[in-house]
Amino acid sequence: MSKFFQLPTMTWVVLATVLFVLVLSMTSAIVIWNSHSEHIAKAEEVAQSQLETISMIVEIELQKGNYETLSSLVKQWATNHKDIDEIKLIARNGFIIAGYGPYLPSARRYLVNKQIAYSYRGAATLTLSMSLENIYNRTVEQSLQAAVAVLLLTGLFTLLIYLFLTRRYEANLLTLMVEELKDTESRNLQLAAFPSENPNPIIAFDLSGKITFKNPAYIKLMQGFMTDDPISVLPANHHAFLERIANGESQAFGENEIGKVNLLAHYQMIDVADEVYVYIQDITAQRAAEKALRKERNQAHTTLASIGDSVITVDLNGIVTYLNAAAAKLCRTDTKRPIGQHFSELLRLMNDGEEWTIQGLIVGCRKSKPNQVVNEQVSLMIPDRETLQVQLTATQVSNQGTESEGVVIVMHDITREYRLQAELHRQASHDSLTDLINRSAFESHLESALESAKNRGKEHILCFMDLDQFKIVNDTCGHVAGDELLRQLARIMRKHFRGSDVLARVGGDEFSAILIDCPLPQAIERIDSLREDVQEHVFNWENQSFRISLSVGVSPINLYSQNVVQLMSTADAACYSAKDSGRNRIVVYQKDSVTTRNRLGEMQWVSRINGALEEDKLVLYAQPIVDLNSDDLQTVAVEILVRMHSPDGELVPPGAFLPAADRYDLAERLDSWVVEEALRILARCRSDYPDCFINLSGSTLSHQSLVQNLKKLLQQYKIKPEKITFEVTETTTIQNLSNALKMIRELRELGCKFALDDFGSGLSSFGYLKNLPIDFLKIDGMFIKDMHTDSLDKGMVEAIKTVADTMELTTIAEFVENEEIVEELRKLGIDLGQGYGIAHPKPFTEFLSETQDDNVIWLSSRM
Amino acid sequence: MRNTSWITLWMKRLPVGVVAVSLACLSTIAYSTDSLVFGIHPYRSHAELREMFTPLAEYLSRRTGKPVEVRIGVSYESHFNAIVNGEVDLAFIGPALFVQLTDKYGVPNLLARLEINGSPTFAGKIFAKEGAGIHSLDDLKGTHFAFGSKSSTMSHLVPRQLLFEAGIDIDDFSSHHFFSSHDNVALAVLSGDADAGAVKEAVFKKYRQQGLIEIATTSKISEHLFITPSGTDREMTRLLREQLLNLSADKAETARVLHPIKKTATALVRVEDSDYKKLRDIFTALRVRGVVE
Repeated sequence: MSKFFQLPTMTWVVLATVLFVLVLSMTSAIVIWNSHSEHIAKAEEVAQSQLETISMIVEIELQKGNYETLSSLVKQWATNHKDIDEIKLIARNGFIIAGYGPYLPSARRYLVNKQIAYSYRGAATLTLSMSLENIYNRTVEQSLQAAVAVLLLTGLFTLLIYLFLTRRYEANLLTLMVEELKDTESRNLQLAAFPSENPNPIIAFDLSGKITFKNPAYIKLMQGFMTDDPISVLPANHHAFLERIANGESQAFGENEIGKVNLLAHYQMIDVADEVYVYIQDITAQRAAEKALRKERNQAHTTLASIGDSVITVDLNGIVTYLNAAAAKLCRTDTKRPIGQHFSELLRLMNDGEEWTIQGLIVGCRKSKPNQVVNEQVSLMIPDRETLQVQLTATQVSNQGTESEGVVIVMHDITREYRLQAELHRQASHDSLTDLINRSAFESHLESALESAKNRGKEHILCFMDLDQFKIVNDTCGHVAGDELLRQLARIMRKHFRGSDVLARVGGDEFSAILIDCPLPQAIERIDSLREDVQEHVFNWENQSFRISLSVGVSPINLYSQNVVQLMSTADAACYSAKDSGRNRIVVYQKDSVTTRNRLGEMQWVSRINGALEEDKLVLYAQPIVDLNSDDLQTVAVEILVRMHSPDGELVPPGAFLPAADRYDLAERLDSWVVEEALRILARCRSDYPDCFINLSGSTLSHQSLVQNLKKLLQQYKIKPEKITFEVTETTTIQNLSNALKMIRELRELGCKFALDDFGSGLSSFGYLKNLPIDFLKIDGMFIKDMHTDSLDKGMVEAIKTVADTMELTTIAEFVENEEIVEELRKLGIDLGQGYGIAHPKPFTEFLSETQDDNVIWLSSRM
Repeated sequence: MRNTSWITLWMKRLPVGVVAVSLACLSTIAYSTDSLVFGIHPYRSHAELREMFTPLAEYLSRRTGKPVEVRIGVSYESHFNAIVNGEVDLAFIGPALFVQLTDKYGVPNLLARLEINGSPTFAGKIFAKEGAGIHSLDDLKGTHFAFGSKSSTMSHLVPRQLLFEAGIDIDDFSSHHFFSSHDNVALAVLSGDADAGAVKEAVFKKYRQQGLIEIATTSKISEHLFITPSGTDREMTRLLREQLLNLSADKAETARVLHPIKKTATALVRVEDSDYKKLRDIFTALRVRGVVE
């Protein structure tokens, strides 16, 4: 409906509504006003009658002189008549004899009064006021209700009038349309009757083929083609068409191409005139479009035929509608035969080991958004051919972008790349020497084994196998022999594990295996038989024979296993335990086993030490070393000790973490931290800083970098080298004697001093002592702590003292735990001492701040 | 005390078997089982009066060990007669009635009189409407005058004598009218129905603020009192007097017992017959003039 027609309707609706509202409102107002007036009148009447009644009573009481009772009488009256707002009985002289209210004086009230003369001189006025508030309130309420009602009725009325008017308007419109149609029809008839007015070219023939009429448009057409022959514009077989119409066909179509122009001739029998009319239409543009489309299609087919990827289109039922040459080649067919066949007869798709039906693919395409594709790597099963790997892309073919007509599937053969990739993957996860899987692949297998144990309650066994004496083969016969031995052993091992088990080479001479779904006793049995086989295997290489054995650590993988790292650690710990207790054996990890637990403990320390180094959780302590021969045990130096803050804030003594640091090559890192931290603290100190004894581990001692670092640090912090004494144990020094000696000499050249720590605990102490360039001899605390009671210990200390004296070494006693020991040491002439009996270690910084003001003569100043 | 009641009661109890009780004990038994009758004149409604005097009755009952029963006379006259006939054991009586009683039947046993706001006496006022041009008793002549009840001591009799002594008789008024209560007298003057009037002092004070002025004050008259009839047991009279006088101003119980009777009552105090001499004289004068019988 156009706005032009809508406007009057809406105007009518609005006018009618306004009128309706006015009439209804006025009617309501009149009714309410009448009712209100009536109520007011009634109230006034009531007031008047009330006044009459009460005045009568009041008059009687006044006549009796009962003034006293009037007050309560009036009050009672007013209380009983709610509408009475106020009553007053006022004497002529203005004295209020009795009164009530107004408590809440109403703005709208009706006042009546009456004069009462009750004695020959007594006269009073009785005034009564009736509140009209209730009536007004009620009227307001009624007005509101009426307003709501008017609104509702108006709404309803508007709707009805709107519906009525629109219907009527539509009905009118329909009538108009009908009339217009009638008019058009008549006009058409007229037009048909007067084809000369028709803008399209028309020519008419009688049944004999003679031209009866040409309209101006037709003549114009002929002129356009520069011809005088009207028939030349018509199709070549014009006469055949005329004949067909004459034979009863109601209409016929013929086409004529003149140059680049296509004309369509529409032959139609006009019964009224008994003539054949031919309407001519120019269809050049349509034909040109069709031609272009055809060309495009051919091009597409050519393209598809020439590309290497296979292209197959199917309809929604999975019936093949097209396939290109590549697809035909892939399926060993031609491009025609499969048309009309079901896709599954041609080939089958496998995705992740499951068949992917063509219907599934179609559904997948339809689910995806328009113009999006399904892109998957799938296996292609073609009858009588090997399985191929293809990258499949499928897109739905839509009819003008709306309704799906089918799916076009493009397959790119990636079989070669796939195989290459698989091989690469295998190489990445396998050890090339033994062809067993490698450590990282093993760990992922372990991860899934752990998951199945935790989630499905399976029990698997993890074993960690370390070859004993492998080093001998490698060292004596070289790596080639070692590699061969490993290959042979891998072959032996393979025999002992099932296909479902996982066997891996995880390190140089370390193998690991997971026995899937295998109870512990059976696992032990199988591993033991492997151990025996390995033991019995004789490895021959260049006329030499070797026997080798296997230490195995076993750890069950079950519900209670924590994680992969923990599992590997426990198996490793068990293996270590097997080695530790004599090799060639199997040790099952037991939670409470001391050896495995210690090993585990050490392993945990590794991460804690690393963490402490990184998070600055280490702290230096200092234990005073005193001159035993001074009267008040004068402090002459300190031994620097290291402590660690555990995560729960406790202080961890070095005995807990130093062994782990030693074993896992952290000692060097720890040592350099201690040295640098000690020098850094000393640098902040006044010039008279204490002599420091700093412990060095064996591994630090064997690294040449120490000397360079130390030189740099001493310079950086401006510390006198003679103030630093390094403590080394005889064991660590002897282990790598030549390096250690070199190092000690170089450091001593700098000015640093050396002390041999724990002297006496090693077996060959005295022999080596001769060759060591040292300055102090620290007697092992084991000899000191009981020397006041044990004469043998005392004898040992005495002997060490004698040797030290000969070599002109200063002696230091450790573990000086009480006064008696001090006395004994003094008697023997031991120079210096340290221990809990003298002073406990305390934080280095604290020690420094406490000794700031003391007049201490440090050891270096005495020598 | 009613003499017959104990016999009836004893007769009733005889079958129950109080045989061992000797004749010598009879009076004691009757005395201790009977209740005391406390008579009141009907100056308010019966129910109101019963409520007002019950606390005092209960107090006396506790103190005497006898039940005390409040009886209200149907009229002033019947009250009067009950006292005269010994039908009550204890009575509350107004000053006018007391004077009439003594004049006719001699003085009964006096127990105690009311003390109101610390005073055992009260006076009357002659007053006029403020601005009515009445300032002295002389000005009252030719005015419209309002009295209370004809038998009212303070709104009629005592003021009447005062007016008379001042040389004004009721004939000197332009008119006079008797109203039913003291309050009505005051209200009649206020509303202009009368020019002046007479009421007791308490009522005058109540309305003074609304525009009344005082013209004259009457003699002080002794307050209401408690008595026992002449024939009452002396011991009982003594006990009742003692307990009533015990309600002195300083006792906490006094207010609890007396306030229901009159809010302004502060104590019960000693009473003598001579306390009513002035009123007796006034009555005598009025009787001579025929105002009272």
